[in-house]
Amino acid sequence: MDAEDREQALRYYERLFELAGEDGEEGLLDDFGSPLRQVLHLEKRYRERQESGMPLFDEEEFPAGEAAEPEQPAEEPADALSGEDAPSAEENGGGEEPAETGEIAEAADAAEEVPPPQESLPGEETVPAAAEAEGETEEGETFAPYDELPSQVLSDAAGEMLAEIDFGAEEEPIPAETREEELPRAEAEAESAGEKTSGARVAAAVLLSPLMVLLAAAGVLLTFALSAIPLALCALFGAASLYLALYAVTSMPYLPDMLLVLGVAVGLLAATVFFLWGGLTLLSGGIGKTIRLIATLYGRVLGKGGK
Amino acid sequence: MRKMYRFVLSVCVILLVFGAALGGVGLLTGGSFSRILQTTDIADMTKFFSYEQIQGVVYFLFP
Repeated sequence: MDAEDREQALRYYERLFELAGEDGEEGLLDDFGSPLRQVLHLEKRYRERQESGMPLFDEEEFPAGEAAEPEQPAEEPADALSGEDAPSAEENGGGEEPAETGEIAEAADAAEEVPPPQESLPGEETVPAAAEAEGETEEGETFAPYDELPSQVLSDAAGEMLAEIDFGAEEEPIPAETREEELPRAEAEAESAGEKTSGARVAAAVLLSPLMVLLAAAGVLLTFALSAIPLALCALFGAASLYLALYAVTSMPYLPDMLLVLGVAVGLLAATVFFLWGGLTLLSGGIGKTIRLIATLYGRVLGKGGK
Repeated sequence: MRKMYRFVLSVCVILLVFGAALGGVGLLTGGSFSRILQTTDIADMTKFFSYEQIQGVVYFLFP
């Protein structure tokens, strides 16, 4: 893109921002999207217009219909595009205000993201434009040829986007073939192991059954013995509480004495509840542990993990 | 199981407090354990057990 088109593009965008004002600037930027998007849009537009021989921006496309002339720097000779751009210059109307020239030049230098092509398109003389571009660019960068520009821009953009994406480490799924091969083998191994445990282990379990019965009986008896003490105390306190409560209500006319005896009865009732709960806990826990012990022993004998 | 522990202990504590409150009210209003034992047969266990059985238990507990 030569200086003339570049300035025209800049003026186009400046006019958009002027029309949008401060309030609409954010909305305009949202419509623009990313700078890369605008660059690609301009690049595509430039290519299409070059092929058709039209200027980058027509008078009708310029916002608010205000004509914006491309600046004619003194050092710029008659370009090859001048034949094409001269009508646009005439169409755009009168000269641009000198006050804007400096601003446009500064904007052109600062916002120059599309480097001008070194090589010319067919039928186009770009030597003055290249010289002009070199004269304008203070940095002295070397730019890629025009044909390579889109791919270079796209690859740079893609590289930036890829750098931001975090590809988490994914676990490789087990291939179906491996699963299908391993499953029958695992099942066969399990079957063979089962066959080994069936014969001798069952016989051993049968022989050990009487011992297991004795062990279970001992466990249950021990459980009952341990839980009998709190249960007996529960029965005793419960009977005493009931007796005192009935006696106090039926046979004690003096109210203070009756309240005293009732208080004792309620206290005995609390002891009854406590010993009842303790005894039942011991009983259930003891029987449960006995059953688990027998099951564990049988599991080990039969070789089933001992669970 | 822990909830069951908590529930039972709560019930026991409530009953104890209630019984202590009743007994305290009775004592404050003029009740007396000695008068109860002397004027009533509340402690006469011969209503339920024979004298020999009671004597045997007493001698077992207090040799």
